[in-house]
Amino acid sequence: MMIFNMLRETVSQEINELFNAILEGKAELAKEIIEEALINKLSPSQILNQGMIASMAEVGDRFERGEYYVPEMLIAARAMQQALSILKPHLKQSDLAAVGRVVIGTVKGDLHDIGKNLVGMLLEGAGFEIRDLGTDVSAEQFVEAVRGDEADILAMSALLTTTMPNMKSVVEALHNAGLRDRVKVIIGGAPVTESYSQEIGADGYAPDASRAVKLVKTLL
Amino acid sequence: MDVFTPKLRMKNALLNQPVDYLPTQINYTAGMSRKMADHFSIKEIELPMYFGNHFYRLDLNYPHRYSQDQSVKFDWWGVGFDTGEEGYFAAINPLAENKNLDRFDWPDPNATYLLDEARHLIKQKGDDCFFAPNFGFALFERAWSLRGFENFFLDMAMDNNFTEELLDRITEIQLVLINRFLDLGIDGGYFGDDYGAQKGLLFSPQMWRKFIKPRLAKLFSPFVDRQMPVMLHSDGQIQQILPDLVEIGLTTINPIQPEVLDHQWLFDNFKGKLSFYGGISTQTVLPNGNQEDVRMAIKTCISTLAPDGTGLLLAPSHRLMSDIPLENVQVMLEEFEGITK
Repeated sequence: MMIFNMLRETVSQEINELFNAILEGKAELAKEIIEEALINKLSPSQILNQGMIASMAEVGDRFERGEYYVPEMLIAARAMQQALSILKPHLKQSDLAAVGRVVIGTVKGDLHDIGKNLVGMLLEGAGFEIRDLGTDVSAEQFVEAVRGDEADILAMSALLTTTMPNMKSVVEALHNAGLRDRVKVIIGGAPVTESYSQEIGADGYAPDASRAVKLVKTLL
Repeated sequence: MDVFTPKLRMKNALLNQPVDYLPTQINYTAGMSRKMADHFSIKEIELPMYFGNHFYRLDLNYPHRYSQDQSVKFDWWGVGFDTGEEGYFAAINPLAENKNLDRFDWPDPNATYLLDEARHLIKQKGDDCFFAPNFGFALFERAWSLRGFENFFLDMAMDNNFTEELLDRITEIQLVLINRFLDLGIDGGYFGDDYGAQKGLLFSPQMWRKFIKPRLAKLFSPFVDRQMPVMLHSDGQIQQILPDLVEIGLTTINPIQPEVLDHQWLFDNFKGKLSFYGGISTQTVLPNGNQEDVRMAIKTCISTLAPDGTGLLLAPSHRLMSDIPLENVQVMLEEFEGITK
């Protein structure tokens, strides 16, 4: 019994260290901890869920609380990505199954991608599969991606008031393609509001990347 | 009693001194410029005068360089901006792959031709008009536009020395230009550097105080020493660093987007310490409101931010873009004319 308890403590300590390494954006340290944890026979899915996905959720919470800003979020996401590349070969197919599929992009005529990228990073960190269509994405491209990827979520971004109306065109194009009921649509960006989301018939709006993850979870 | 030239009106309003009436300003994108010139049946070049603009921004004079397909226009520093977009989008970041700052072809701030146009304009209109050099993309934005947004944020988080060196080099070049402009006889400073997103700062106040504040103070100081107005355009929710900006000598904050910075809060907390430039939303009321909404927004902006009749350069919060109905521009102009009477 004593030995078992000691083992548990080592286990939780490694997971804790990994959690903190990702939270602080320390990619090299995160990779080392994973290698050591694998040698110590820790379960890869436990490493992923408790050490990494939980850490990215904390990153999102800190961002939402105004304790983290874009730089901290970027280095954490980078540490997560690098750590995942070490862990991936050890994960089973079932561990890798995404929580959901998200097609994301900035609407036609708009090239701004900072907000969209942050949303993509946090969703990926939460275990979603992301297909990033980039910027200046037409309604047809969104529709094709939703159809082809069997996406659960379509996430759109716009920074400019001049391009924001293109979100409405995408929702209409989904209707016309008979896909509207198959996918949940979320929107965000500086000029975008909850009332605009309702006006164009989207399923939700989030004011920041962390709340976008929470919104997606409630929609699925 | 003072005779108020537009220049004196502008200077006094920015320094919270008495004016005969509030100065106004309307800036716009190239696309909107064409639409408005057609609508008002005047030449595009005549729009600033037609609008009664008070603020003339002086740009550097240098040969403009485009990509072969004209899709990208390079600025003086070598950053390439997308020409297809009505906003600003830095599509080419010349330092994206290069962290060796000695191997970058820095622009020469001492090149003689840079201020030719500015010199000419001041000579022509300097007695009546308020001139300030346009230091848009001044420091932080200059750094990230050179490096790329994500690269520079990673630099700030992980490479202290490089971040400081890059910002120092930019500061040095800007200071040479500032001093040259001052020798021409300008009336104040104008800087653009966006630190905020819609809901908060892009990076922490601690990081801003470490990297940006001391260098921005250096850029402000030649104006502060001469007791001239210093304007800063900084988008988004920057409430947390406003006291710091006042501390380093800022006199005027722009664009005071009403949906981001509460005007009453601004006035209550910074009355007499800051003056305001902007205030009429290009995100909500101008593109989406009706004519009555526009009139109301302008009246409320004036009564909240300038109850004493000064301390405000009344203007749309950003450049007018082509989604704004011309009727709303017309109504805004009528309101602007109304305050001169």
